[in-house]
Amino acid sequence: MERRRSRWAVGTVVALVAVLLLPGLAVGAGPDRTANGEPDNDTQLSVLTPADAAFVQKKLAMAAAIDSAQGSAVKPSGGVSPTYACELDPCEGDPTWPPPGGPSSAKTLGTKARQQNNYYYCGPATGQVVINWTRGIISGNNDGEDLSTNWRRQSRIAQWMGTTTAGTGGANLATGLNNPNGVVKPTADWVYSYADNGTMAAFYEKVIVDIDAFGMPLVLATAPHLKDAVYYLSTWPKEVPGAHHWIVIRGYDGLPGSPSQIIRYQDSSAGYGGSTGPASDTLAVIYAVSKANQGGHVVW
Amino acid sequence: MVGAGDHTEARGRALFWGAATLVLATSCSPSTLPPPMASAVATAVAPQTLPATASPRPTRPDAASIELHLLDPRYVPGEAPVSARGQVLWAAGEHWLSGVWRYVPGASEPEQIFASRRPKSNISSVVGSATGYAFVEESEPAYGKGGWRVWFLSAPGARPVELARGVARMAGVSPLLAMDDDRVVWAGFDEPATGFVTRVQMAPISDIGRVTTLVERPVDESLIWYPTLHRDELWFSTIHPSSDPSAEGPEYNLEMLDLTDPGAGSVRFLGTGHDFNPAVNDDDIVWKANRRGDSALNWGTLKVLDRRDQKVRTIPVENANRPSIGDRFVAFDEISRTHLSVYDPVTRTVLHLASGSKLGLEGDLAFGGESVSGRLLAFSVGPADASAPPRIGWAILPE
Repeated sequence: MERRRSRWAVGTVVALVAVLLLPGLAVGAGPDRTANGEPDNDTQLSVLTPADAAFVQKKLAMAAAIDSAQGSAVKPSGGVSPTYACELDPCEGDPTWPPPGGPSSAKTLGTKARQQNNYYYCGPATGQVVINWTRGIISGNNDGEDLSTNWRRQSRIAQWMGTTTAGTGGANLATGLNNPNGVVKPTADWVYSYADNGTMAAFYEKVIVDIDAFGMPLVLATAPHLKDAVYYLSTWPKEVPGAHHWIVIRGYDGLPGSPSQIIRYQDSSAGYGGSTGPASDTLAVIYAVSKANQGGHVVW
Repeated sequence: MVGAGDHTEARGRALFWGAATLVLATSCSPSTLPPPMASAVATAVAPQTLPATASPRPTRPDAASIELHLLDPRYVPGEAPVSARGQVLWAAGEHWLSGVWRYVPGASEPEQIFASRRPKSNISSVVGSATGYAFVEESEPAYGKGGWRVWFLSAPGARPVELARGVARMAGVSPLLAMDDDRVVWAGFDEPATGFVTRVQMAPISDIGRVTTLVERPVDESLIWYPTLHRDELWFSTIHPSSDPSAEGPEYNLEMLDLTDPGAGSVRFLGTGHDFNPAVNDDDIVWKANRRGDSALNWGTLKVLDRRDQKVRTIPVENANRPSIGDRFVAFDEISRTHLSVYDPVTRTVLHLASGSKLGLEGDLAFGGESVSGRLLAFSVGPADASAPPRIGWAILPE
């Protein structure tokens, strides 16, 4: 390992790979507390253009179709209420999905974890994982500043996302992903937006739609391990009151109504209270840690 | 339920029996430890088969007959409760986890054994034995950012003795503890100006001020977690951050240090690959094995090595974590948190102790923090929707 790279910067604690962080990030801007990557009161959702809103409604329609594809009469609470005139009837969603047999019962995207550069960079780190995925980057090197193994440096993505020491707002995170040099869109109308999770069922449907229908990860805001919490991320074994933390949702296992519903995710927080790498928890845990974080929001 | 023998994988994969056998045969002698040792990992010792002993056919315990108890809802565990030599320990506090509590089954109510006066004090780990208690305290105002202290308490309410101090500002995780009647051990991270290290240290109860550094390595070589003691064996988990940068993630495994000869260095447990979270008693070695690429802290599969026949078996519970072992049973967290279960290595069965109604609680429940030592099982349970704080539970398991 090159000694110019800080030993600890990488995040020490769980993980990490060999190649660590840049000295400047490690020392100068290094963490002085646990990961805290989202501002307080981050409830300003993405402002969508009509085309973007149409796309979101299309995805919601696809989510609503999951139940019917499984032969259930149950519909998501709240339903879908478009507030725009549908051109080409996007409200119908993608008629080719889900297939007659329903969505895949389990699917996990082969995203590769990245170590966050500092305590407030979990947003850019998650964005880097998503962008790398769409750009076909398959390197397991989790160094976010190594341009040979990333589409863009984590610090560059942080610029796109307007990240500050207060973290990354959800709407800004979505904007960074939508940067022309960000994700490769799976469809021409694809757009990432920052939205409410909705109910647990509605949240899970968002996960299934993005991952199974589009092959795209989601980014979730969490309170990873609150005081006295019944549910917390397995990657955060110790209580960290007040932390706001972004993770990448990369897979699911179990359709709605099945006995077991598991979410697969990637964390970036080794050395900042959590760990870096793939992990999994039940839908109930993931939903709870997100809901406990300012009501529950997701970039999808 | 799974019958005996269903999950044998084994093949005497086991490791370093020569060393392990020697350790078991040697008395504890912490006062004769050499000065801080080199931390090189010794080459695995050739396996040596131990003779299997004849014993009566074991009977499967009746899970329904195991009584479960809950403490009053006033006693809210801040972190997972810990079973420690016949008592349940936990950290708690209104805003910060600044107090240490204990409950001895049979007592009328819990008692607070320590209350910190330091601002923003957070007790991150606590252990106990028949000879006292040890805990780790964080307090940014008192110790600085990332600062930690390891304290020893000889008895409830006694004056704490500082065993060690350090900084884990970058690591974000303070040391983790292990304790028996003779020693306190802690493993974690320290960040002095001379270079960040991961370290295992020990203090003998008989001379509590004499701290010995057992292992010390640069953090780009090793990250040490979860120490556990059994007689003269010190086990711990090691992540190797630079093991394979092109892989999905780092390698991690278990190591064992013979405390009668710590200068010999630790021995790597060959295990099954990507091994973490050891728990050890006379009969079994339990650990969590993960899939390649998974975070070391993630849920995994629990393996049990029978120290007599050297067979490795799998506990038939998917996605488990944080195993502990008592006189007989293995306790663990499981991903759904909907069941309270323990594994019996003797009959090789999982006992489901509760799913809610047995505790007199309504609604969907979430169990967690399962911990066993001796025969005492400790756990927490709360509403799955987090509409109320978790409660502390305990049970006496069969012999």
